[in-house]
Amino acid sequence: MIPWRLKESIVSLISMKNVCQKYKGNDFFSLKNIDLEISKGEILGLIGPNGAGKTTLIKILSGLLVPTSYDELKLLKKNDKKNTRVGLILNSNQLYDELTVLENIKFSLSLFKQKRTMDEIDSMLKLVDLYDRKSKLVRTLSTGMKQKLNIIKTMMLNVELLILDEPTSGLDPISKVEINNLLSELSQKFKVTVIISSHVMNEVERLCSRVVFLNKGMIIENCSMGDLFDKFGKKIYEIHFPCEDGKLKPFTENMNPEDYIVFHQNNSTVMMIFHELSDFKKFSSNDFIESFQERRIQLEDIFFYYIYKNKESVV
Amino acid sequence: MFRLLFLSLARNKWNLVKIFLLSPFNMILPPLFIGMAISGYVDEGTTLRLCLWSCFSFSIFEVVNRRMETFNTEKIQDVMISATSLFSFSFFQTCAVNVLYIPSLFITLFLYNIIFNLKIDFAFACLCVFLVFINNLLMSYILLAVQMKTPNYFNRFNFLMDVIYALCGVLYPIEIMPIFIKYIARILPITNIMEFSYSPSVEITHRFVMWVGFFVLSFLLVRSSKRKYLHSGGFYG
Repeated sequence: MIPWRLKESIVSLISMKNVCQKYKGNDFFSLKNIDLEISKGEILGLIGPNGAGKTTLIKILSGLLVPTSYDELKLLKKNDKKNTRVGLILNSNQLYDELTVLENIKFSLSLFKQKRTMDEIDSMLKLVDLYDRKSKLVRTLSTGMKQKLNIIKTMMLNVELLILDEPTSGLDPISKVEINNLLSELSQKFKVTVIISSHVMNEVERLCSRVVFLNKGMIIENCSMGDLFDKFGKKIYEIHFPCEDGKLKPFTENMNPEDYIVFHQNNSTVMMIFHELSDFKKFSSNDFIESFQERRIQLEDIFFYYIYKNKESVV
Repeated sequence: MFRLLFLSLARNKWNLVKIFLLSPFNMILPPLFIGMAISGYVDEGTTLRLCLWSCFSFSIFEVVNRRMETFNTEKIQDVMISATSLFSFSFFQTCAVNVLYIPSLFITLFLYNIIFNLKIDFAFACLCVFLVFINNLLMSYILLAVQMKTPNYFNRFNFLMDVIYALCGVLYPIEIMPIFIKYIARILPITNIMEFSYSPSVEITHRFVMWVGFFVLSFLLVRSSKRKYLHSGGFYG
């Protein structure tokens, strides 16, 4: 028998099977055969290139879009007067510029019919260093401050599921780190399930416990961060050539095509090898090569791998 | 929510310019002077009707403007997933706009009453203003339904307001219009208020039935637009 605590932790909050979405007027599916389960308390990273279907999936998860077809679709119930289940953070445009920081929080609470004491609001404002600015109009805040406000105003709704679509887009590196720290702190404090869609890979790598790769409307990878890095190993070799793909044959002829990707970047050809190289002297001591680098693998490298490997295979 | 929506409107300085400058001078004064040039005096009824029209026109413009700001940003998605329905949100927004614009109507009316030495019946004006408020709510809902179904809505809205201005009888009684235009004009809720301001004895009870019909229709249209939004991922998709 499963102890109740454990049982609760493995209960899936959201589950979908064979979800497809095709927008009117499009001759392609924006989402195709999506199977996804999201457990309570996990932080899920949703990554993929532009047009991969991330925003469409977010719309479905937040209840803003009913998919064209599905075999199973278990989402959270709609927000009502008693409970706010889903919170959506998009960008600073969700705030009212002519209202103060405090008024924006109050507005959000009244929109979702929730109540919080002034002490609760103040403690959240202190957490993001906005307490001293609570009477200032939102239009006087920086983009980073606005995003912090956006996050705390949504967290104050006591949401079960927090969905963030590119939460750090347009922010400077310091604000990005601050927002990520805030998200990490708040998700642990409030024990909410978080879904983050982002193009910033190191942000996803640091925050998320699981990652879903989307490309051309399909999930091409869905696993825990640990499993993903176990699969790819710890090292990567990045080699830059000043040549065309055809001249790479001597380097690639004995390699498994699944172990490397080749792409062009700034007038040179980049080869990324995702496998332990037994004869890497062939690369490192070759005059023909612009640069050879052996380094720790990052989520961004895995992202490149999936995108380039799926470029031809996904139709 | 109403208070906060009102505050956000009142803090916009451009709104105050519209209320205290554009509405009394730009909208009301030129037709009054034209009337004065033709007849030699300023008519109380025309002044009242121009103020009512100005209140209607500016408040509906502001409602549409605010709504476009909501629809074109992520704010609409917040409203869509919140516990507040789109209909209630629209109600609060329209009320906030009206509470801001209606006092300006009285101020303008009061000032013109003194400047031109008119004898405006303010009790009757209050009744007319109340009807304009109901009309604004109704128009706001109808326009919400249309807005949710129409891309490039703003240009069409401007054109529509010009047509309404010509048809509603603000400058002349609709009795002088050809009979078929008269019937079309009477479909517009604001025309009924203008007719009422010409002659309070006009039977408007049956027109209230028509207004209720409009409310129901707009409610159904908004509901269907929301359903469409959920199925297509956007209002116009």
